[in-house]
Amino acid sequence: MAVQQKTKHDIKKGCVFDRDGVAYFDYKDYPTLKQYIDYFGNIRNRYYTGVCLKHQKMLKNAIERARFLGMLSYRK
Amino acid sequence: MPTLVPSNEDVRVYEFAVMYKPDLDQKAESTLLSEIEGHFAEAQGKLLFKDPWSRRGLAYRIAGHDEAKFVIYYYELPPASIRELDRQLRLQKGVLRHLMLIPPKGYEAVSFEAKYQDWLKNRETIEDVRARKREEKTQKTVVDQAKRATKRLETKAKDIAKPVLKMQDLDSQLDKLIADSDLKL
Repeated sequence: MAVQQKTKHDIKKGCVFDRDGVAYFDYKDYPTLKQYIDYFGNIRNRYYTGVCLKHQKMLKNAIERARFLGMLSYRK
Repeated sequence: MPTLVPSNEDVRVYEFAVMYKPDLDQKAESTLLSEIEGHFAEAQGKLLFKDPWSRRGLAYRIAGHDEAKFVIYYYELPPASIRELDRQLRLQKGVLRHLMLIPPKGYEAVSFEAKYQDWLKNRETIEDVRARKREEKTQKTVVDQAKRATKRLETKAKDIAKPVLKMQDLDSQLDKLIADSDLKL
């Protein structure tokens, strides 16, 4: 049987947090949350960051809490 | 660092983040904190862990302040007292904002202040990033130049190595041609 060559779309990087087994995002963990915020203060799309839906929702929760406490901006 | 587990079924573990004014003097600050802790004591709370943060810059202005101080408390409380506690914290003078939530099961309380200070020390500033990019660019140009130079040398060597007819060979070949009997000059 011929081995099919993998195309660019077949190779998926996968979620970083899935690999590390992250169960909870802390709103106090500023250095981690900052990576998922763009220049304008918006949450980065998971299409670009490669985060899975489960972790994206958790991230969103943590970022919104951090925004409420003034650690992150709503809009720059 | 302690893992937060409630001691009995009647209580739950709660996390409180209290943000207060940064410009208070030491005495006023200690009285404010004691008042806040008094509210928890009134609600029959048991302190599990406390994480005071130093003065931090805010991403946007809150009640005319660009900076604020934070304290993170982990308390064991009966759930019935939460609403009253929320009201007390909202009315407390000097407190800018507060947040109360239930940490997930098996949550381990960690001092985020120490983590943050470490990050501040070791992080890459904008200047560092610029310097790194500049360095990478110069290294790339040096490598490219070296590559081009070697390529040039190789082509030059090839050109030199091409067989050039010597004068003697040329003469002998010419003689051969002239000596040909079929050739009628």
